[in-house]
Amino acid sequence: MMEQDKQMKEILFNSTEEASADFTNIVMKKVYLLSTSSGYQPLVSPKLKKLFVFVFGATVAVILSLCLVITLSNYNIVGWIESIPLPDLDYKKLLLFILIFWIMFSVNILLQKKLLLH
Amino acid sequence: MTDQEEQIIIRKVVAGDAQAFAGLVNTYKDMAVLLAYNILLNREDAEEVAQDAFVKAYKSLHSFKSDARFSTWLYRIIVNTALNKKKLKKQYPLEITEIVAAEVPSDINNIFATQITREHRKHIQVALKSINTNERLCITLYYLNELSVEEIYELTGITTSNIKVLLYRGRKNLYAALHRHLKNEITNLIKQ
Repeated sequence: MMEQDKQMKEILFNSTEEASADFTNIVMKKVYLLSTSSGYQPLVSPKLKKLFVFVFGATVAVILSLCLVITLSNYNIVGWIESIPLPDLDYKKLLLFILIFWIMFSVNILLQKKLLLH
Repeated sequence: MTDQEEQIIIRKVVAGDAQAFAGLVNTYKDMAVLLAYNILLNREDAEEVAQDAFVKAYKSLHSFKSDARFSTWLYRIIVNTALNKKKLKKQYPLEITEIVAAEVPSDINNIFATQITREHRKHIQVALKSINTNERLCITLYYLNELSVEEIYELTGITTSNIKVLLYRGRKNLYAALHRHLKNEITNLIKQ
């Protein structure tokens, strides 16, 4: 460093006294408050949420493409689906649950985005 | 503190050891207050801004990239916080006499030395007050915080050619202001 640079550094260094004695304590008190405060912890992690959205999108896409294939095709290409023996379950309830789950999930994402924009 | 030691502390803090952050505060507190002071020219505000900057740094430490220098990252936070404070308050610095009067020497034997330091500081504060904010910011970051012109550009957004001009003018104006002020002091002393 040149002599002039050193001189300038010294001038600026002497412009005010150093930090107050309790500076670190004040900062650390604020830091502790931050580290111990229980912030909002989402139930579903962002990664899992992305996976849900992906699965939802993929399922919708598969259903739509299957519908399209069935509608447009003259041949019974998905006849094998009908031949699969299904277990004796209440499918109405199951479908209703899935439908409500995805509606609530989508509404939640939309509302969160709106809140973030504000 | 070496860069490696800094990285270890940062990793500890990010992992949840808040106490480790005190090491970083102790290392950079004086430089942080000085930098904030040279932007705001107000001792109390400088201390407050420096403390806020450390808290902000703690909050966003997880986003700090380990290939960067912690000091440069921290200085950016300090500069932004100080400039925001200056913009929001549109304040005027405290009278220098008030700052000087607030200092109380702890030991009677140090009174003379303290008096010299006070006088010294008073001249520098008056000279710093007389130069442009951007000139003061650039010379502080360059000479005191030892940042390169490129780093100052990244931090402030002022173009490199402008920084060089501001450094040249700031240096020249600061020396001229100091010279003028000291000359006045000597003339006043002779008159007395």
